[in-house]
Amino acid sequence: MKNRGIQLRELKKQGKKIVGYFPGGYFPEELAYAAGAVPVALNRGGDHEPVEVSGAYMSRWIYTFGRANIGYRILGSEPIYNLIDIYVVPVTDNHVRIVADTWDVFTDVEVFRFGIPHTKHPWSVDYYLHGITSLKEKLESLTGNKITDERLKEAIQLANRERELLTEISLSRKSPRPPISTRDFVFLNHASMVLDKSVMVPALEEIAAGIRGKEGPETGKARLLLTGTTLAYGDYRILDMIEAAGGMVVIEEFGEGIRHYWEKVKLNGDLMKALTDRYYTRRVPPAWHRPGTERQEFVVKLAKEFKVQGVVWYQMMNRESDEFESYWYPDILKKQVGIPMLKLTSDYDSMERGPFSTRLETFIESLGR
Amino acid sequence: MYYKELLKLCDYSEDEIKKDAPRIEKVFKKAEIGPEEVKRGIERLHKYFWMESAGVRKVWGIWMKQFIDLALCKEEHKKVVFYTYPLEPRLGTSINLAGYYAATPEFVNMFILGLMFGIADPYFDLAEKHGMTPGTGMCGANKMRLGGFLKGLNPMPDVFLVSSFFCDNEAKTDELIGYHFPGVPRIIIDNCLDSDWEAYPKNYPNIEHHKVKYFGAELANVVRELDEKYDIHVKPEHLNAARMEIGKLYLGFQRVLECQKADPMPIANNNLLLFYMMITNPERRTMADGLNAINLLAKDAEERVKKGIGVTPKGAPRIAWTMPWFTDPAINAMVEEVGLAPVVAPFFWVHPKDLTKTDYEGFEKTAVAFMRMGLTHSTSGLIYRLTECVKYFKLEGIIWNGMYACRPTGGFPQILKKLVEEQTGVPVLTVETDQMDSRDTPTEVLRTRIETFAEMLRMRKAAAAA
Repeated sequence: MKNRGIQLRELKKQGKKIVGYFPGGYFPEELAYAAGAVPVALNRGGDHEPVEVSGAYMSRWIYTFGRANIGYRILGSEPIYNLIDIYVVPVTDNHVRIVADTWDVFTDVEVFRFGIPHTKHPWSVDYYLHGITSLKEKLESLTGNKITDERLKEAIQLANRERELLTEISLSRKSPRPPISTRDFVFLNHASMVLDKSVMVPALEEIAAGIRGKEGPETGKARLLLTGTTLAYGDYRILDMIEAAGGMVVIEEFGEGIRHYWEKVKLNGDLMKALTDRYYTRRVPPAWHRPGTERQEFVVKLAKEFKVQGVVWYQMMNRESDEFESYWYPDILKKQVGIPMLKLTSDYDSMERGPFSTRLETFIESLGR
Repeated sequence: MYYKELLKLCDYSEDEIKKDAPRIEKVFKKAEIGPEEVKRGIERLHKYFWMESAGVRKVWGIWMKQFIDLALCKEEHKKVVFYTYPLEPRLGTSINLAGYYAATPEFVNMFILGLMFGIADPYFDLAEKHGMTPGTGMCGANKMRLGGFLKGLNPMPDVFLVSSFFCDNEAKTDELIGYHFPGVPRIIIDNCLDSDWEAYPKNYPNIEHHKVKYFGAELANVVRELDEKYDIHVKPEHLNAARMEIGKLYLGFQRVLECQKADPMPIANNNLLLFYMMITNPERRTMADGLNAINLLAKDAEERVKKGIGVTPKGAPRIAWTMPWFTDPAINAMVEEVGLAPVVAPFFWVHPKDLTKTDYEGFEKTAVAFMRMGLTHSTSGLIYRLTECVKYFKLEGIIWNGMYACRPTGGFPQILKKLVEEQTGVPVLTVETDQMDSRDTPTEVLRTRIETFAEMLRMRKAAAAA
């Protein structure tokens, strides 16, 4: 991961197009692979400086990860942010829309948007399909390469294998003694959004084989589900603090920043429709979806299946869809799973550490292990 | 009848007051509007509004009648539909024209409880205690919406129409209302604000075909669902009639705005606000009396223009005051007090090209009309309209008081300032405020900034003249 910037610079010199994308889970990377381009998520988070810098470019009432997104570009501290040839932004809500606007106005990067409907009507499916069809045409013109069915199928197969492996590794955490920590799993997940799949898939094969049938040490820690708005690459402080407070995250569910790996693309029939089916129809949508019932049911299911004792809600400041949902989730979790929830709101500020630690310690202590 | 003087001021006739007394008393009791509040309301009306104008008196009457109707709607109507602003106005009107009751509670409440009586704060407080956390950028209008139900002032409708095509906060507020008051169905109306940056300025007055199809399908779905699931039947003729009615209101109001081109400016922005919201949020009473109120205001304004009478001194810098306050008229009055002429709130101006014919029919035609407004299409659409408005009204400055809690309009002040200044040469002052919830506005800090801006505009004007 450390060398990815250098690799990308080299690939760019060789004439490859670098396709940056907003990591909300609605960009079908397969299209970029099939066009011979290199997709990379602009998924960095956890630092306060980019958030501060963003104040000159967008309202402070835009959510933390969105503000950081333009901040990293302005600061130039993340090489990838300054290497992309195009920025693909699947527009999910007004926060993400304004991220795209800000890149349009304050950078020289071409921004390509397509909208993600907030409901799942039959014509919403057509709208998403129209969006990715336009994206396909855009990538073809950017790279000069035709996206053939054959190349798209190969890309889908590779991406499906990556999803299978991530699912297998993720499910290993159902064990009372998980053979892999969530910190490591999240890092792998993030790496899969930046590294080439030809590197990532063999690495995941090796890791999956290494943990297959194995168990980790007995820790005696409280099993937790971590959910909320966004879990970005580099934003690992929350996981470290939970660990230090005596907790162990065994499963996470985020609308952004984390690859949604649970569903595969079906390979029968029209491939663009198959991508739509996977990325839009079957994808469990984040909090901005209306209503948010599908995700609530998914979180409840995960909480039961991974036998968690509590939920930590990690909220990005000012993302109001999540803010709303965080109000009724405790009630739902209590009624349907019988577990409590702790909400923490972050603006990637180091000042948060003390209060977060205290609240986490108290919460985990209260779980009464 | 402690409220008689107030209602007469709002253009109620003696007969109307007598006939409506039981309804009014019932609602005033519910809303805790007693003699003291009425006294304050009368003072505020005289202090902040042009009560000598028959048009202003009539429009206040419309708002008051809507307030009473709203609180009693479940008792008086077979079917009640509530929608969130900005519902596509033709859709809301067509439901009313079909004989059902349709309304947006939050704006009616804000105008009467906030603008008139100054008693809106408890509603915001209540919403904040029930899931709309303070300090997290929750929209004041939505807080009022939830607060109205929690306080028991507004009854639950038979169905909610959720405006999910513009704002994320609204849709989630209705979900929160559903959590507190389970069992009321919601029809969600969606759209995606995902256009390319260049799309609106390049294509206007045309709108991208795929967007028209999508939003048109969403609007058509409302009528279908109302019909099939909720026994509410809206026919194409209702939509056509609604289109005609809304068109008359919008175009009638442009006659008023034309008067605002005069120097001195004839109408203070507090008065215009009452009309802006009546037109974009028309309800039954608007259909009955709205055009009449507009024509009366236009007549009064034209008279003032003819006589050279204005509410600001001749030569006062002409600005766009983006969005007046909905709950505190003192803040709106402040703009004129510092010597600025807030001639228009740009979102309510009809661009001449808005009237361009399209080949679309039915709800697709409605979708085009709605997205042409610019702010309902994209950030670049909103900015384009603002620059056009600067040219049309020969504005000399803009105060962009984009509501901070409104991501669709308030999330990009830096972009707006940069582009509008570059494209028009007119200075833009951006201020962070909440027009719906005046608790969040540090009034005197705002006054200092506006005074300084006014001084700068006057110096600029003097320098240009020299």
